[in-house]
Amino acid sequence: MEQNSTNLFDLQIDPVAHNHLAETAKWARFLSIIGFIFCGLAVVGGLAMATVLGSMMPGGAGAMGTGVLSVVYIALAALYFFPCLYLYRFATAMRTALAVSDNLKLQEAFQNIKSCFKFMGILTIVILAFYGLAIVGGIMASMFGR
Amino acid sequence: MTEPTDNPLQQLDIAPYGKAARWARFLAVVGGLFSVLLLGVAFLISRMLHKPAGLAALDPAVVAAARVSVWVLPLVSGLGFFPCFFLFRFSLAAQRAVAHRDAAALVRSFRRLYYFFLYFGVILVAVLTIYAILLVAVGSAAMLGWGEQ
Repeated sequence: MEQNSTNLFDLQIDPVAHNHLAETAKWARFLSIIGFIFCGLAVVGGLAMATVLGSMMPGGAGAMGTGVLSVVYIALAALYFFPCLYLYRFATAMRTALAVSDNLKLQEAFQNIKSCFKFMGILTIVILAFYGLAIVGGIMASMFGR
Repeated sequence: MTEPTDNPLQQLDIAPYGKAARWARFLAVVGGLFSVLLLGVAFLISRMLHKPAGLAALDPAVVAAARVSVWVLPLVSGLGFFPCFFLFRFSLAAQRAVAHRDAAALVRSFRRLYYFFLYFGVILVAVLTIYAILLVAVGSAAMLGWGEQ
């Protein structure tokens, strides 16, 4: 059988590279679906915490604590949702690109993997900035707290 | 005006791939630094555990946690290092592919990206399997009434 991947999208991509892209798309899809499931579980957990634990501790610091925790759960789920979405779109576009040898779909896949890495990169910068602020705040507090 | 070319890579806009590689390089460097940092912390804890005078003042639970972390931190560091390594090598190949329109480097970058996702996928499968085993074990223990007073 002739391998159509020997000259995929006019690129000199051998069958091994074609196979790597297909496998990459498969694993990316798997990771994104598991990510979506965990996002859903985090939202459900956050809502359950707000309703069940909130009703067990009406008013006071306990209720506020569960409220804050549930908001954190839901916010983390919302944050984690976007890289999963980009990853899923990357996987879907890559699979289509490989199936029908479509340059536009391949570019869409590249665009989505870029968005995924960019999102993770910006999130990392924000987290590092928070760590930096916390360290500076801690040092300041220890200096002025004496 | 650009000349028409036979190079197939000229026909494909792979600039987003280059940008992806740049962010991947950043993530790989930060991840690699954290792996080294974890190793450093494990080393410091192991040094601390070798000073009995200092340990006497600490809570036994803290000492036990420190002993466990001396083994766990290098393990986490090692597990975290490999995806950073694959990501870094991917970014090198992808940036070369975009900068020089190098088809061989592009194919190399695809392979390294595959290793990166494969590694994460396998780790995820292993973690989910451990979760499932723990869930079954805890469920079985609860059904059989183990641990009840």
